[in-house]
Amino acid sequence: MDIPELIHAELTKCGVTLAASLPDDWVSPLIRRLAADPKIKHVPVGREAETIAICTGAFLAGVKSVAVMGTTGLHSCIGEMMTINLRHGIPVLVICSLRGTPEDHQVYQEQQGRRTIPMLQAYDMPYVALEKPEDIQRIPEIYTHSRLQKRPYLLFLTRRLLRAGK
Amino acid sequence: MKRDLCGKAIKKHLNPDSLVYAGLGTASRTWRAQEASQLTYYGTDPMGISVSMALGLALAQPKRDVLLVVGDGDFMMGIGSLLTVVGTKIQNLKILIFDNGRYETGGSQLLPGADSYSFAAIARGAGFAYAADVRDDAAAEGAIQEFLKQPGLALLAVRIDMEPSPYPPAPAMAQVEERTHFMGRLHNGA
Repeated sequence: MDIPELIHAELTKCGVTLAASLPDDWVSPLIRRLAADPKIKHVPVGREAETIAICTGAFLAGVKSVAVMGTTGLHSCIGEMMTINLRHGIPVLVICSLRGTPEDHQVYQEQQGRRTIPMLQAYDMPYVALEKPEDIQRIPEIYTHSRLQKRPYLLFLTRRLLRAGK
Repeated sequence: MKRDLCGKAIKKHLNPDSLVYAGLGTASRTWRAQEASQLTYYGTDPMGISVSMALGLALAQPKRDVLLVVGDGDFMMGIGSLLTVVGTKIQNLKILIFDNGRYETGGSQLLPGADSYSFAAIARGAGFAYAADVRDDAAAEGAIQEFLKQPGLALLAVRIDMEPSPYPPAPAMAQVEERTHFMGRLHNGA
């Protein structure tokens, strides 16, 4: 199984039936994989904050979901996560590329890379970075932990993990 | 139309089994003041995500109609979400906009394009099968009734009069408490 297949399998174990996404190139293979699953309703959106809101609305009615986006998108929707999810105590699991790290040589990711983790720490949002294929098995425990945390929870896909699948 | 009359007309004609997502500002406060029987979730800021929040609720409750009650400023900030809604092919979401062309609670500043836009035309362009603007007070209740009878995706923008809109007192419950209350009622069949 490749990396998207492994992640997909673990999300299925979690009971995820809704995925809202806006791609960057690192998370695109996962999005394609989720979109091809007839048991998962996949909602492509026009801006990342919609993924947060859709998953948040679905949570109110008991549906398990995941938001998928790139690092720049995460930075763009931090206000929505603060004012809806933190204020209302609503969890949302966000699967996000971790761009701007030493393995990422795209100059347009450099600023995000320096600020992503400090931003999450400032907003007191938990995060876990998946570094190697074995880490993917942690997704069910992370998903449960995200529900208990009642706030946005970031699950980062690192370059090292995604390269391991090549 | 006076905003309270709009709220009363919605309450009068809305299916008792519908779920309601109320955004923020005076549209939401007007709906809350009706003390309607329909189970309602009251959002807060930020502006611009009410359509997506209601979409998530509608996707999760496909057998129930979901009505979004939203102010024009909130709606405009997330207007691209109409395309997301249409892309999902759901049929159980209706959007009713309190449209006075202003950011009312923030100080009544004009919305961009306030003198020229048609939310109905924008919604039709996005692919909504039913979309209407109603600016005539005498026709408004009939338009609300007709809108709420639609079998699929529908949008109605109701022209609302300018009225004072003071900030409300602190609510009885914090949002976390309201959320818990809502989910409990929904889980128990409300």
